[in-house]
Amino acid sequence: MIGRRARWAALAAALLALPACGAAEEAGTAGAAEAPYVIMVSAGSDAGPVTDQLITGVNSVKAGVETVNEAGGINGRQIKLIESPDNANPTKAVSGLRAQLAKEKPDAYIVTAGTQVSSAVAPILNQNKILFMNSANLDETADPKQHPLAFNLAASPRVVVEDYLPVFEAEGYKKIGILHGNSPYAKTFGELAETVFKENGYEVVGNVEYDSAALDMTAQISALRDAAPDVVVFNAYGAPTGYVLKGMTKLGWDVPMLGETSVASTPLVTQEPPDGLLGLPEVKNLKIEVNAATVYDPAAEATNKAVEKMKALGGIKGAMVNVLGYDGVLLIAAGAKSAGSTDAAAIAKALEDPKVNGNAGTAVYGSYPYSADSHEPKLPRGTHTFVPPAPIVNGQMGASK
Amino acid sequence: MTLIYAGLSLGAVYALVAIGYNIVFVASRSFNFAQAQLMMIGAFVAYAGHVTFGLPAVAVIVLAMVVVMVIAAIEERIAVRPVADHQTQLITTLGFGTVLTGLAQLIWGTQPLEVPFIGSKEAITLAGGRVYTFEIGLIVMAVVLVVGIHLYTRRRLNGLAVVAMSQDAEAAVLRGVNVRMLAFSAFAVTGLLAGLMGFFIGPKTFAVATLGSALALKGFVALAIGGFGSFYGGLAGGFTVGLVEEHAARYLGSEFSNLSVFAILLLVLMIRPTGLFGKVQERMV
Amino acid sequence: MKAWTALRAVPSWAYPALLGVLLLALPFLGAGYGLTRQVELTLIMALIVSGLNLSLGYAGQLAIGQVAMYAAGAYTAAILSKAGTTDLLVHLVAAGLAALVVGILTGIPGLRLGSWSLAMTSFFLVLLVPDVVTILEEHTGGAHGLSGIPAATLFGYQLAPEDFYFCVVAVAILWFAAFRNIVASRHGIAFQVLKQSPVLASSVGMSIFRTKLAGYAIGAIPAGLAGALFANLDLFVSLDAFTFHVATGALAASILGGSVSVYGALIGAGVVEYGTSQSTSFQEYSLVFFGLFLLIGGVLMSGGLAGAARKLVARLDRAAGVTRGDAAEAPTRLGRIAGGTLEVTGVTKAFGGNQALAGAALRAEPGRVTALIGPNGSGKTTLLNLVCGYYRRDAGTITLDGKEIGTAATHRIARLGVARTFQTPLIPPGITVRDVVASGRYAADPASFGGAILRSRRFRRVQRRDRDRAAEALALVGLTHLADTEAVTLPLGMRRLLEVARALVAEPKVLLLDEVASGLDEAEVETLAALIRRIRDAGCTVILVEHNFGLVLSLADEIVVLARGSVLASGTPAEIEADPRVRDEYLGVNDEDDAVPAGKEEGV
Repeated sequence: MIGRRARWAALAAALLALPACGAAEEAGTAGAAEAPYVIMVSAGSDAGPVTDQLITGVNSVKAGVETVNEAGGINGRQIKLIESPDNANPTKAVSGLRAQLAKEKPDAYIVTAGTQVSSAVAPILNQNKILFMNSANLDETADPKQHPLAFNLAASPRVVVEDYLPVFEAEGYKKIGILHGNSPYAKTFGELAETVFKENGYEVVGNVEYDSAALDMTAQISALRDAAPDVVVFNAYGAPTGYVLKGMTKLGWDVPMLGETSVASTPLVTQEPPDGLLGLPEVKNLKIEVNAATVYDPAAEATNKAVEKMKALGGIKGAMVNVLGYDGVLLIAAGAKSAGSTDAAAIAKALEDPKVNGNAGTAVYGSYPYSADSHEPKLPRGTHTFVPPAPIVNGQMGASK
Repeated sequence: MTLIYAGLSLGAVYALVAIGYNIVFVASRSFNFAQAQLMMIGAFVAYAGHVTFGLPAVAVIVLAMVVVMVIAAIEERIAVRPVADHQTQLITTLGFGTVLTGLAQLIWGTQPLEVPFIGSKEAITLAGGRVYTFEIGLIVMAVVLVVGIHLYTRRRLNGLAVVAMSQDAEAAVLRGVNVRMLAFSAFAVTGLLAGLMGFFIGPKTFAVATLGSALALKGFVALAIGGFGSFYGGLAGGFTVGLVEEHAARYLGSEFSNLSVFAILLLVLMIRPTGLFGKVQERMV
Repeated sequence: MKAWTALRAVPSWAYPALLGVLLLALPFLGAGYGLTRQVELTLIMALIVSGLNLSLGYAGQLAIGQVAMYAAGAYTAAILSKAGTTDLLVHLVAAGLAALVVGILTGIPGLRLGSWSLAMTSFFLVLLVPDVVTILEEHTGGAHGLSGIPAATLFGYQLAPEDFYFCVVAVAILWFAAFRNIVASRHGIAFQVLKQSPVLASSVGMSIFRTKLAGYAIGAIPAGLAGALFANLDLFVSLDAFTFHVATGALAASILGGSVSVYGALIGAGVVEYGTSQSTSFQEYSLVFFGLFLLIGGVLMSGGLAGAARKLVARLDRAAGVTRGDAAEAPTRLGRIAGGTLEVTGVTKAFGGNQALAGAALRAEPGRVTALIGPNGSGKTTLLNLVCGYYRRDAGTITLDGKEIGTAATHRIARLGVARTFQTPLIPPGITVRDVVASGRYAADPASFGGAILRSRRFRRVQRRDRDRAAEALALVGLTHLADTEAVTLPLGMRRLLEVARALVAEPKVLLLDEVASGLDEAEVETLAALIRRIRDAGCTVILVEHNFGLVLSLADEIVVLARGSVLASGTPAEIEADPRVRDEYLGVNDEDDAVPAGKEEGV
């Protein structure tokens, strides 16, 4: 009965909260003499399955804003953060952005979760000459010819895929099976993985897609098993991760599995029972791909600083890849400092300089190698490593609580 | 064989939703859009019982059944009874289902939660196919439930009353059937069953807030293929959808699994417009 | 109350027109971007909802496929735009057509199969949108969405976002005007008749299938238009906009606003759009809020806001003593009706093992009342239903004026000139006495949807004739003073007279009256008898199925007695009265009135 009482309490709270909530929350302080530097972020608190990514992403932006403001803001201008309460829905995001444009043009826009939001707002931002830090992998925002003021923050799928190659070599895997979902990113991953593996002389014996809304993966896994690969490379986030692992165990298929970075963001594989599957037979063949920042390193000052900030703001759900927004803010600050201006074009130009994008104090990747030809970080091979699943706390493995 | 087991167990999940729709539909001609959400809550309560409260399995089953029954009873009181016409009930039950999804997200978050299952957690080999014990449990439960309901409605006066009411509410009133009480009990019973089903479904699908909408749609399709108001139909429809989905995903690719199910639906409707087990009525003047 | 009277004196279309003007003027009244954007989204939603109203509320089809048609429209416009055709008018036409095609293609199988099939196929249609979009990925952008759509133009003029607002409002105004014109025509009444009783609809000559398909398919058009507007509004199309969630949102808007209404779509869309936009400010409680919103909205607005508004208007009308329409009494003269000879020979029909009719025969001539009598279960109503085509006969022939009418569909037989009344009067709720009568003329003069929308000359002529004929028929049965009353509220006797009037406006060759006097008091029976005599004298062929033996004797020119499915005797009233077999079989067993649910076994 406790559950019910809590629910009714929640309901009462929801109703009481009615008058208390405003539309767009405005955070940050504008204390400096100069006009604040306005950053808008696609936010919300209920984005269905990607809720955790969205909330953590927005918190990471807040943490970034705090860090920069403490250090004196962007060239002396304090950052004012405007949240667009769109729950990662593209139509609502466009509504929010257009409404904000009519009121006060933001200087920069950050998307932390939701590829479709990025696709929807990118042309508007481009047209209005607004700096855009995009956590999603989008081809057009990686291309400075199309969108000179947009930057992708996430590692390109190619880097994510290429980092598989050393493992294949070390373990002697020849025949590769690929299993991926049907979200935009998952499809890109699936296609790219096949191409890259083939380019490097590996045989792709199966490349199977699953519907991320499906409740059972037996069919897909059976199809892959019939192709008899040496290793299964897969992408999944949330419940499908569990369905894949359960399906493998059910079929009694003893094959090494290499989960892509999104798998590491799924608490199901990084939490101990009863909440997760850690330590159970389901994950005994599994290794997951993580970036360096996800493994705790007491020497990584910038990363640890960001994690500390995030802890105060409610912690990190999933892995460090969800914290790219923090780096987005720091990159803007670094670009502005180097350019000596807060003009969007000047910042964008400065960010193409390795001295700037490599020394911004960023947390997830130490440097974001942008160039005049590409606004996608050309991260070196070896950015990601494969580790057996381990408990992830506040986005990191091996950190003390 | 493995694929057939997978199809059947998945189909059993759909069939269980369809059965829930049917009980309410037969008893009160209303369509309970929140049915799948009730099952989702059942899975979450099973999780809470096992993990949060650490209860023994029997207590977990009872807890899940009672909690979901109470929720379903509340639903009948606030979302169904005050609304006279069935069309508006679609909206109010949809609203109730949305509230349940929202509350589940608030309480348990959006990440999938592992629901333990009594007995062996290992998959077993049966007649040349691999299957989890809880998957067999699901299939058996769906079949037993349908046969049970069938026997009950045939033998018991109450069951007859439900059938009488679905045929003609006015006539049922004249014959002394308490229609309101019956509708209320129908909801309570579906709640009870949804709680039980949640207990069995959880280990297969995890407890996750999106479960409701995924199940609602497929349960409806199972119902459409099997025929409205028929329990055997719901079962057959569920198994059909499950099997077709698995085989289409295996041999055609996952983007064709919905399309294949749709093709089957059209085929069934062409041959039997009222569904596999729906009753054909000659037009009356 | 004076103010109310003044308000009601303004024609009813003036208020929506005023709203349209207001919306157009909004940007000049200093409305901010937030408001105009909200209006745009609401109008787009309202277009989808109005399509739903047409198919759900009017044509009575629980179909939620509108979102799929919306998607079809949006992708059509987006793909056209990407291909270089940015003209908004082209987009609208193409998107409307694309949606229409989707509507027809999916409507045909769903409707052919009847009952729940359309609900299911349309429901599935929404589920298939992502699959189809993914399969056509190179054109639609698949799961990534389609971005970088160039801004719309109109006759070569580049539309700025501010201009686009006017386009959205204009499209909405034009569609709602068209929608209103359809609904306020005989087609609108036809939809309501059909929704209430397909049996009745076919008896006045409507093809059930085609009328339903028309409702469903026309309902697709606004969804397509909405899609074109949406694609050009955000210049980005992705699957997020066409989810099941959106479909249920539209369904909620339709029901909250009132499905059987034109402007209810606007209200419902406004309410739901406001609800969703507000729900995000409830942060993590947004889903709970939206659910409660639907739940409470549904409970409070059962029957829809438009329904509530209509009741309020009616109450205020009564309070203020406003009367609508022409109160002038039309002449009660009944013109000449060209009757036809109906001949039934050797007709046989069995239901399972029950032989309802075994070689029954009947001949009814113009200008004569032929009565059909017999005990319950003797096959009287079955015979009528065979004549009308509701059942298929097993053997025998039925001819009208010597021409075999075969086993044609009910609506075709009705169009041949066979009209009828029903044991239990079939009067659809929500429409006035006048419209009930006018609905009987559906088959008499064809009038197209296009004519109704544009109010063409021909349409107006047909409409005037419908109105005149209805007025005449009403005057004939003495119901003129009740012409604007909601028909279902009339007492039984008046509903029976109303049915006769409805059957008469079609100027039928043969009029079938099924137990038209049962449940009437003596005075009412008198009125009715006088009416039937006048119809007969006008030249119509009247077939009367009746239990009231006294009435039959006084009215009939010819009586046919049925017993156990075949003709026991036939002849003049005097002959039948004298026939000993009839007395034994029929009059002897005089428990007719005790057999409780009269005619239950034969339906209606």
